[in-house]
Formats: sequence, structure tokens, C-alpha cells
Amino acid sequence: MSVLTVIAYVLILAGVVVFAGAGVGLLKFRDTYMRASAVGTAAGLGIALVTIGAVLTMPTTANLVKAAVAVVLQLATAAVGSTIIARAAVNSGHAFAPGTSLIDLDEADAKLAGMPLTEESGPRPSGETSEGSSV
Amino acid sequence: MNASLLTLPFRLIGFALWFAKEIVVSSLAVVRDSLTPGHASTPRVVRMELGEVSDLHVVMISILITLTPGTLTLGQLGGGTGFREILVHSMYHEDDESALADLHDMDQRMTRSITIGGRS
Repeated sequence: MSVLTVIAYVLILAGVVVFAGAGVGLLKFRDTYMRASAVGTAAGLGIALVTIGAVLTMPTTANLVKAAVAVVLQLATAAVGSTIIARAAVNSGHAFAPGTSLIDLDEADAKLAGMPLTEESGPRPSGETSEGSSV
Repeated sequence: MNASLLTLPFRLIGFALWFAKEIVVSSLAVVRDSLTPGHASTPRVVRMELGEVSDLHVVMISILITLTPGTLTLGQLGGGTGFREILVHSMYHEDDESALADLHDMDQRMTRSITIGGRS
């Protein structure tokens, strides 16, 4: 077994561990946002690691080019997809898990829902903390 | 910082290696929290100010933040012109200050690695 093959298997195994962690996280994490975070990680990194590992077992030039394109597209699209899911969850009013620190969100919430940024939003009042309020 | 075209590939590779290290470190935190009993997370939402930057810059940093396990971009605030702010959800930062410090550190490293000519 060559060194390259060993590296390939290590990468594939790392991808499997990322997928396993994300899968358990999906069941275990407490709100939509943490679950989206876990899925985004697995979809981006897990697939990238497994793809690179698989290519290293047959490292021809054509395969390396295909893998590079696949990994770049996968990383970019998985992240954009996770962000859109998270944004949709905020906009549709999904609650954050109890204990989530939301100091910055309350004021920003209305703006995230599509209202244009107004001029007076420069220095924000730091005294208003409303931790624990549901959104 | 010499931001010439000549050094661009090396700066990109340097950033890619740093980002890979970040991903490994934070992946371990997420997997450890997943696979051990109890909840180690201290979730929070922070508002990250990016300043006057381009659309591409906002998209790039949002993608990088989401790709880092444990942090998630919730969206951009406002109408998408002028002063840019994004909301970021973080699972494993102790407080807002450390979360923002890490996020701005990533932003600066990314900016340094992709800038060509001058400083932006």
C-alpha cells in the first residue's frame, strides 16, 4: 500500500467522521440554526474530504481536475444553501434555543426581514439587552 | 504588505492552509460536542460590521464563515449597498467579543490574501 493510498484512506475516514458528527448533531442540537450549521459542515467538508480521498486512489490528471471543480463547487454551494436555510428560518420566526445570546438580533430582526437600512443605525444603544427573549 | 499580483498565489495558498487548520480545529469541537453527553455549546448571534465592501467580499466572507463548523451566516442586514453588516450565529464562543474578534481576524486574513494592488 503506497503512501498516497494511506493518505487517501485517512481523508475518506476524516470525511466519514465529519458526516457522523453532523448526523448525530442533527438529532442532538437544540435549534434550527445549530442543525443548519452541522449540515453545512457535513455537506461542504465531508463530501470534499471523501472526494479528494477517492481521487487520490486514482490520481490521473483528468480526475484531479474533476475533483478540484467538484470540491470548489461543493464548498461554495453548500455554504450558500446553509445560509439561505438559516435566513429563511429567521424570517419565518423560528425560535433560537433557550440561552442563546441575542443582544444584537432584536434590533436587527426587522431589517433582516427585508426592510431597508435606515440612516440612524450608526451607533446603536448598547444599554438595551434583552437576553432570552424569543424571536 | 506588498499586495502585488506576483505574490497572489502564495498568499492564497497561505490563506487556504490557515483556513484548513481552522476547519480542522472547529470540526473537532463540533464532533466532540455531538458525540459526548450533554451540551457544550454557548450559542449567540452577533452583528458583524464589514464596512464599505463589495458584494463579492460579503459573499466570500459569508461562505467562509458558514464553512467553518460552528459558525453560520444568518444573512446580510439592510438593502445591500453602502455600509455592510451581516448577522452570524456562533455555537462555541464564550462571549460576543471573542466571536467578533475571530470573525474579524478571518475577514482581515481573507482580505489580505485576495487583494491585488493597493489596500482596500
